[in-house]
Amino acid sequence: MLKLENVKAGYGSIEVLHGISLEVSEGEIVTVIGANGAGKTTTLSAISGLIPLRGGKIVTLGICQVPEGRRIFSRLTVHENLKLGAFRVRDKKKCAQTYETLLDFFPILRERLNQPAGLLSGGEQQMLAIARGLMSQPKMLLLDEPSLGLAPKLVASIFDYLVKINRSGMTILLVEQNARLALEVASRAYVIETGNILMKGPAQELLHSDKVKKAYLGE
Amino acid sequence: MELFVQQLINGLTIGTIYALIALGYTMVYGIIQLINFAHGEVFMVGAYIGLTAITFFGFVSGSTLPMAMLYLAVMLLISMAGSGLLGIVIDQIAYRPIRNSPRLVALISAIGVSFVLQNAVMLIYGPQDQGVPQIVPDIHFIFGDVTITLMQIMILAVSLVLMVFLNFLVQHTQLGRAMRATSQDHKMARLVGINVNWIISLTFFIGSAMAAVGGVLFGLYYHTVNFHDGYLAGLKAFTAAVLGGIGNIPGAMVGGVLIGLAEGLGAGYISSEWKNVFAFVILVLILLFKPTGLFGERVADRA
Repeated sequence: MLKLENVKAGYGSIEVLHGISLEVSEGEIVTVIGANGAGKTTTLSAISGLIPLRGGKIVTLGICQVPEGRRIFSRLTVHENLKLGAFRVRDKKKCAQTYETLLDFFPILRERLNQPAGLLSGGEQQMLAIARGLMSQPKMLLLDEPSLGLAPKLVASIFDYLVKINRSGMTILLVEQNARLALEVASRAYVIETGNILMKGPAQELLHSDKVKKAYLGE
Repeated sequence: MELFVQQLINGLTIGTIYALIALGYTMVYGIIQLINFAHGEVFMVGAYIGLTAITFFGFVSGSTLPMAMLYLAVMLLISMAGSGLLGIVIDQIAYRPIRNSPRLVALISAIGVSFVLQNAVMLIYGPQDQGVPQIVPDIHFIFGDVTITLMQIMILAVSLVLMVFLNFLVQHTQLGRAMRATSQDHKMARLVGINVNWIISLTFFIGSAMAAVGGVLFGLYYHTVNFHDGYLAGLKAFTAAVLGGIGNIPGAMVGGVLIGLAEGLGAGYISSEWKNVFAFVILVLILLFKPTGLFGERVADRA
């Protein structure tokens, strides 16, 4: 579904990724964890094609990125945000179907359809950002720090949603600083540090590895 | 009372022309945060393109009303297309290469474009005023002491139709949503698959085409155009855009009409010699007391 082989990328004269390889198969939740500045967001930007590659190759299929900080269109209504999510979708009928399914899935969005999205709470905005991503009917969702700036209770609820979305058949690549939570929901994980993959393996295994515990879980 | 109503009509007429120009300032600012100071010149070029078009098609004065309407339509369409393309070209040449530079750089570039356009028109058509033939028949409707001309009615009608159309386009179509989304967040707009550069070009096209309509109507209303007409009209329209809240489309429309009314009433009650002062007094007051303009209030931008 997604495959990165020895990917190199960066900004200006600075190379950020020094050869990242990772793979996500259909139906998985895979997480990439790492500290600030490790190259997590750059990896997603490379996958989404926002920055050019300097080496290696990426094979993707129907991906959609939900960016860090949600980036909903705050002056547009909830309804308009969702419609824009499907900007590239030509099949109007299927688009309307997805729209209804998503509003059933996130009932709070239905209640606020005609409000400017900037008036939603942080958790609601994250739901909107995810729903907007799903409107493009992707095969795979890339999530960048969905927990950012949310209260712990809301973070738990967002992650519940992610698990539910995954069970309905959506493949997910999750980039997170909240390593514990990410490892709990993911099936496999990669640890990234200064632009290199440091460790990889089943999420449960990493959750209990001493190295990860010490560096990322604060134990 | 008659004077009041008469000046109201006159002010409204010129105000809708300012509003048409102000739309371009506000739309371009909304999408790339640039004050396009060459926009007044696009308005002036629009007037010249319209004039050239009817000269080319050999308009004869005293045509029937339907013929006159046809000429007006041809003038408007050619001028809109020409000026719209000019807007895109200006963006491509003068603004796109410096898109990520500090804003002052683009502002200087805009002033440069403004000089180039003024002088180009002066070289091509000469520095003297150019007469614009009477296309719309000179019909006056007289109500007591108040006169309204067919030309004024045409200006109001054409402007109203265009503004309603533009508002519909921006507020209720997927294209309009894409424009508003782009004006808020270029990167996210790209992520949902919007072609941001295309949207910017489209914005320049629409804004310039609106100014061109203003230019054609302005020429027909005053029967004359000059290469430096764009300077004053452009500054007043810029004032209108600031008054309405720059970046806000309905604000530009209301701002334009208000500036026109202030000018009309000021000329009527104070002195027509001072006609050009009123707009800029308003600009100073707005910048002092409400820099966001009348409709510049933003909904909370929560991250």
